[in-house]
Amino acid sequence: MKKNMYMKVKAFLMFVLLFLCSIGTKAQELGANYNENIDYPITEIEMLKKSKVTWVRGFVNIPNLFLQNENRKITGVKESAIKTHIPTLKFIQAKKALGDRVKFILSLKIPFELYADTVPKVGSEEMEYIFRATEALLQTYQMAQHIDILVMGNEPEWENVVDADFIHADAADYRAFLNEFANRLAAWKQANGWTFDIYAGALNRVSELTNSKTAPAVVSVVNSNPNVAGLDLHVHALNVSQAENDFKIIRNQYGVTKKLICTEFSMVRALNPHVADALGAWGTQNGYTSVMKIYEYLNRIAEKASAGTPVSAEEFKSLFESYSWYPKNWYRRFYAVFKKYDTYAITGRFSVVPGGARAVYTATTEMWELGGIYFSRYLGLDADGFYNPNPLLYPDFLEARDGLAVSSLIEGQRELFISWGNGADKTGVLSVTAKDGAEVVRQPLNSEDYTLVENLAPGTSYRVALLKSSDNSVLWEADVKTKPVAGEFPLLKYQQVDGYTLVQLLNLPADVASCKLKVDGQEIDIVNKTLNGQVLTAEVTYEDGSVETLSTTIRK
Amino acid sequence: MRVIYALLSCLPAFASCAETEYAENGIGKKNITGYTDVGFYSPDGVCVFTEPEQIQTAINPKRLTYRLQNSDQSKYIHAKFTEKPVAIGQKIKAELSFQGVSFLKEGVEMEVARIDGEKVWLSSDNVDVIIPVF
Repeated sequence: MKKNMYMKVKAFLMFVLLFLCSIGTKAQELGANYNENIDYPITEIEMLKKSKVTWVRGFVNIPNLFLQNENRKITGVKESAIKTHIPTLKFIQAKKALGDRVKFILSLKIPFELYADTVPKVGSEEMEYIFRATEALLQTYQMAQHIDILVMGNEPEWENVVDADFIHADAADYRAFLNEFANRLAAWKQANGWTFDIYAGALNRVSELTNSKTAPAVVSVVNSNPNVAGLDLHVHALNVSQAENDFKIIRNQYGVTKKLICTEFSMVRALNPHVADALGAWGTQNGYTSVMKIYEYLNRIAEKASAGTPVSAEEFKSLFESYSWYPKNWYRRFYAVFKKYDTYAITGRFSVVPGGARAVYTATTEMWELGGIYFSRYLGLDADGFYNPNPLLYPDFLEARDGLAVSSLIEGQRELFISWGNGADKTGVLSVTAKDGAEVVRQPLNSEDYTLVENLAPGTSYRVALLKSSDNSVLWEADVKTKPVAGEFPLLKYQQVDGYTLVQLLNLPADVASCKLKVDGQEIDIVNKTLNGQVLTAEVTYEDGSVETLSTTIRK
Repeated sequence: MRVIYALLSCLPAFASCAETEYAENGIGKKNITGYTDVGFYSPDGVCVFTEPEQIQTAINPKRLTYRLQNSDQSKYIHAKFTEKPVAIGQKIKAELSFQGVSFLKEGVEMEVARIDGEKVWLSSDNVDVIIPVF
């Protein structure tokens, strides 16, 4: 009898494990990387909305900003610096402005190369300072509640090393640090009801750094620690095939089955050696000189853009495509790799922010900016005041974005709103499956642009799949988690999602009997084309017959 | 830019409005009936949490509850009264739940100071309140 029960429990646990391990297949989502740090405020809210990216990533340098350092040793935590760090508030404000359709990733940059002993030992005072600073950062302005992914590092192969050959990195201590960090974060999540996923990484140029001891250490934590949801990869490639090589090693050689994200990718290293190349025949054919250098050209067109007379996108594109060394359509080729290896979130450089870039290029400037989707610095603004796109990448970005099956996926507490993209087969069937394998929803798309799934349980994982109606083959699938109830009192919320206004009632208590939504007294649905009116109300009827009326003025 | 950051850094402090001994002792207590906006006021009038500033209200006339909250509920005050305020001078107990504000106590005894057709003014040593008529 006991053995029978043991087998049942074992079978159930195996199923749960398989369910968790398979999270994230076939759900590539595009995003925007705000590299370096969150200190430069994300002000491009409308552009981000227009671009329809669904992820935003920024990173914060913990030692530089939030730790006291003396003689290459961590000596304390700058508590007040953390609690008054306005860029944190700005980061959260950007998240609030973008709504639920855009999820945020926060990477913690902790360059242990700063310290004499590199990675501190588990249990040391120094390590506790790092954890305390992180906990305080997550508590400040409710940072933890506004991020979906926290990455516990940023390119540790580069930032932990003691020698330049990457062989003597402090790998064992870093592995111990990551395991302890993930366990602490999991404990804080449990204690505070935080729901973000924990990632390790980001490993950069995996296929190049074959001698690195840091990469296997990081991967071993990802593979073995149940508190770690996945791995962040950076692909700053020297040649276009490197993206494939990096992902292949991670999936096939290291055996990583958990989610992969890629929060930085570029071909900047292939471009940099050419920053001082002459324009050659292209220069004389286009009104410049043949001896003008690329960096001089970039400075010249930046001046033109600044004066309101930018050069055309065609001119800009034709220059780079005139060079045999320029890796044409590298963005498209990278995206094909991300798709092939089930990369969950992909955040490439979004823009070159006016004033946020190097003022003048020289013969040694790295051409990071050419990897941005938008850049007003070189090509100015469009009629609406948005940055003009980068013609080298933008068509590939659009192709990737517009080929997605899902344009937006909003996880509410009891509902899912899925706005279908051009890549969706709208003759298909949506299937929602609970953790125990039971299908809780099955409904045809009926050629509609969106699907609303209601009556789900809060804080619960589901597998969502778009199935081909003829044979039930999976066309798209993702694992989602409804948001947990986060308060004891109902809250009315509305947000714009892909041309619709989604109205949600959050934190409904268990004794609610029914709800009605109204605009200026007229009953409305959860999903609306627009909210034509001034006052949005919700009537929440409880089992005791009482009615709570929530009201808010609609802000356009 | 630094000035802007300095001003912004002060905002959370104003919003949460720390409880002061000044207000606790009732020194400088303002007359609640002079206010007009529905909402919650510290007795010295320094801290306010009112309808024009908070974007969402919730009222349940049967359960005698009234709540003001912002769009993500990071700040709210929820008041549950033990009886319906109907007469000036009437003493009513209220249980207060709150987040993001710090000038309140969880349980207070309030006195009805004024009633008009649409609103009721209630006063106590810890907080003054104007609510819609239930």
